[in-house]
Amino acid sequence: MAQDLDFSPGPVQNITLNVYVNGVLRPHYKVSWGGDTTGGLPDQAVSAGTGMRSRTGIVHWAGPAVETTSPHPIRRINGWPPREGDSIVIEAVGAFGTSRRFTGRLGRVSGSFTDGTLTSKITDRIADHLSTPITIDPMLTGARGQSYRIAWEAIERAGLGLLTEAEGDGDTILHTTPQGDTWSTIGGDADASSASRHDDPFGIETWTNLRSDCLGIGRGGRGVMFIGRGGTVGVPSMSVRMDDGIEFTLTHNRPNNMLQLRQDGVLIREESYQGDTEAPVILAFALSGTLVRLWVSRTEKVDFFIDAVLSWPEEVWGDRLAAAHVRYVASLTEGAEMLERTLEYPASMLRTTLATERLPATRGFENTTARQVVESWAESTLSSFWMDEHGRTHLAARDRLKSRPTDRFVRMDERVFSGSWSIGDDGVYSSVVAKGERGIVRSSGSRYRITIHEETQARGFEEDATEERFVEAAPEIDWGPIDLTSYPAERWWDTDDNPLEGTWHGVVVTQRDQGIDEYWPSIYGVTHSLLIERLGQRTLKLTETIGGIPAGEAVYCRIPPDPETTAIDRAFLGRATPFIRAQWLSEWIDYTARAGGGPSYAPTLKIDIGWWNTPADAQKIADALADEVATPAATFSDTATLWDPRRQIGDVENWWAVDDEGDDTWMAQVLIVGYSEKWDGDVPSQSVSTRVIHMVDPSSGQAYTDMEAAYADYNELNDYSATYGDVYDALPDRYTGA
Amino acid sequence: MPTAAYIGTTARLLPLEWVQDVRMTQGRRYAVQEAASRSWAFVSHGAGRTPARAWDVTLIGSVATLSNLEALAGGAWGDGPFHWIPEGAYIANSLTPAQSLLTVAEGGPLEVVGGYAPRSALGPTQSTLALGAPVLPGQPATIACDAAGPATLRATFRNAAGGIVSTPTAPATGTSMQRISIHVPITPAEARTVDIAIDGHIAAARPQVTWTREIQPWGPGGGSSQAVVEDLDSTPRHRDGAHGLLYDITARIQEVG
Repeated sequence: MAQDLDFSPGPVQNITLNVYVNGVLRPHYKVSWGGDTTGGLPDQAVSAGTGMRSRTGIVHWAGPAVETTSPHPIRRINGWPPREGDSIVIEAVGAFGTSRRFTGRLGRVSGSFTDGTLTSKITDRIADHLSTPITIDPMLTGARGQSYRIAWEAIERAGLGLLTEAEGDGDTILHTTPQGDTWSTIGGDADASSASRHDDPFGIETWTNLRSDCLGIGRGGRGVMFIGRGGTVGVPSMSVRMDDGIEFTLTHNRPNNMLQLRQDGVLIREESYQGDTEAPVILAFALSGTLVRLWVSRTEKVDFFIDAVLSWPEEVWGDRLAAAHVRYVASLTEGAEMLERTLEYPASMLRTTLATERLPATRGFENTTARQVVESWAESTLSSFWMDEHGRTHLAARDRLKSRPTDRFVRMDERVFSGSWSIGDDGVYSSVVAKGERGIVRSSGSRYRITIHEETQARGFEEDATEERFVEAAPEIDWGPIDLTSYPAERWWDTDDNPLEGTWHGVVVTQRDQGIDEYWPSIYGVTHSLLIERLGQRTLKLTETIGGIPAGEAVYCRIPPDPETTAIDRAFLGRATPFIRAQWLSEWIDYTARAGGGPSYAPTLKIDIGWWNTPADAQKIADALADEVATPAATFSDTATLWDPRRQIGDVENWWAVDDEGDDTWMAQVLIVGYSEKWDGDVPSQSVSTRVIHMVDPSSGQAYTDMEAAYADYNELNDYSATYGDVYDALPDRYTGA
Repeated sequence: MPTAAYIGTTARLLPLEWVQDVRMTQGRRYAVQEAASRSWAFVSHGAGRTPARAWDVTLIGSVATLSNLEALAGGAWGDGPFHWIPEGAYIANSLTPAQSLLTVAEGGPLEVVGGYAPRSALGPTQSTLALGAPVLPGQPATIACDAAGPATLRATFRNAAGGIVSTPTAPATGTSMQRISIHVPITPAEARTVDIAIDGHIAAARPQVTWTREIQPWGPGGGSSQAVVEDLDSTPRHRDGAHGLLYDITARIQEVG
């Protein structure tokens, strides 16, 4: 948060606003845009800020001094008039340097019929990215078991993550983004037994010594490409062990900004890193015969030669590694394209401190959009997400935003032009009721031993038939991988098959009217087959074909109750078939977390936090939310302030008011949840949406100049736990007699 | 010496006679935002651009003057914008303010004969002081500039198509700061614009073009190269024996761009 600029404006400022369309500077007449978030609160509880996620606005283009014709809707000369989809970058240049104001694309273009005005809508790209259709299967969790791993999966597939989205195209043998959990999206097992995890200040997690196995697909003479993302602190590296024992390690040596590639511990190449070191480092290299290609940035590379390494990668690990991808490539340009699509600045996440417990499994999302997944997660952790002025995605939990150190002080009589405070505006609630789902998993590891479907009664057939049925998972149940190959139970006779494992079907043949003796079908030449197809995550289609029923006989879909031998476990006798088994099944049971404390006349705030948290964590979230909504909070509305190029959504500012004599009257610590900006030519105006975190009356003796001094010290601390309360306590006592 | 105000394209400047009153207003350069105890000014026009000026002109005009103004206001002479040289500007300095104050030149303040110029052009390689300043064929013209060093002032008169008509020059006498001038008693009939350049100078400032035979005291430019005519009002006045029907005319000349 907060652009790093030296902004100390004098009484006269001379600022130039540059608007670039597809990189070309275009003259503008007026530009305005705005972006808002709810700051993590549920929509119902907020009056300042809206749910609007995208930053949108409008540009009025300037033409020549005298405009002679209305703009042409079809004809373009040198890329003008602009079109929807053209990229737009807006920068303000002044004594403070250059401040990026907007990055996005143009939307609708309109030209007037009567005068020469031409306008374009502008929008950031977050809505475009998050509209990616997505299906995420329900999964068992890995070593860390945090549900935000699923939110990261949605973010990655939307094109905003550390790597471009994984493609199960047969060429990728490893794709892992261990943000919140250790399992690989594509690949074998991940061993975290001797791994350690770090929180990188960029807003991602990095792992040391998390050993991820690659899929065992042969190389087939193709080249192999390795892409990793390292953290922004420490010395990140990516290591890979080939199947013949050769090990490569690519390290970014931060002190001298050099990339070092080592083979079996011996340095074979060193190049200086050309990418941006404030973003997660790009560690990428490729092997093709004797050629080694080392990327020094997203787009630049260096080639050199070694003795050919033709073996294939087996295991990947690293030091402070945030993500890794290994794929076979027919040509090295394929890998280069993938790297170019990778974002230099991926999304960053300020995770909540309130939800930290492990979940046993995660639920699935089917045929929905990435936005639905991220919104569902955001609602469950009181988080908000937005794209900043540079087009970088931020996800932040409210408790983290509120506890950030102050970015700047705003003296209201000098910098606020209009606005008003009100108390009691936002909804006050008597209590918070959070509804969620708690998961219980029954798993049999890699074997299919968990029964997910069993018939309640045996179906009967008197004639040959082909029957199609659909089996749906109950809404509270998720299925893991299912054994779709069904064998006839008759096999239990002749083989060592375990009836407790796998999917089985079976029929017995009996005389129509009597039904006393029952026989296995093969004795009468009756054929029975079952075809199971999994349609999506929650539906199975069963196609059962029974043929060769002799006249006068009927078949029933069940195991015989009294077979001729005791080869069959007693537990299975008489059971209806088929029984369908899976590797695991999760059951999600509703729970409610309640937190109170508000006035009894106020309504209850109900939120749905889904399956993302455990009940204990949900209670903490409900408590935190209740603390906020139980007392009326002050809101500042329509506040027009002096334009500040450093201000961004997510900033924490201290606004203080003084009286005529210059004494402090009150101070509010506010969270910037949105702002709108308007430029009239080169003259800016800005209006902010804020949410008050604390409001203080200094009559207890401490002035806000003291506060500023104390904060100047505390501001240096990059410590999430330094709260306003800590600083307040550290203030000097005014009445010392001095 | 001409006696009217002039408006039109460089190919043809139309005289407006007889101007009674010209009131000029200048647009605001600063946009001020005010908080309770402090105000903040933002410069709304960047370097090299002066805020737009507007002139409220009152004239007593003949039919010829009125028809010129009506033709301009009605678009018969094209969309514009046009050159506008008010009466008095061609005596003081017919360049635009930005041209005469050298607002985009690279040099800083310069002490000149009898005052200070805020910006100057640095030599000794050729500096272009003004391009395309309009001149009236058949009328006198004086081009002048303050310079220090062994400078040569060069004027290039061009015709409507941009071709060169004549290139008079004037050298400096000695090297101390002085005002150099080129006198053209009768501007060539094909000449429509003049470009002013100087070379060999150490620093030069305060260019000036006047439609006079003699050099005039320097004044900042009063001309405009981007003006349009709006709000034309006319009332017939009386029939004058010598001049025919006369009109009371008011017009607003607005600078754009």
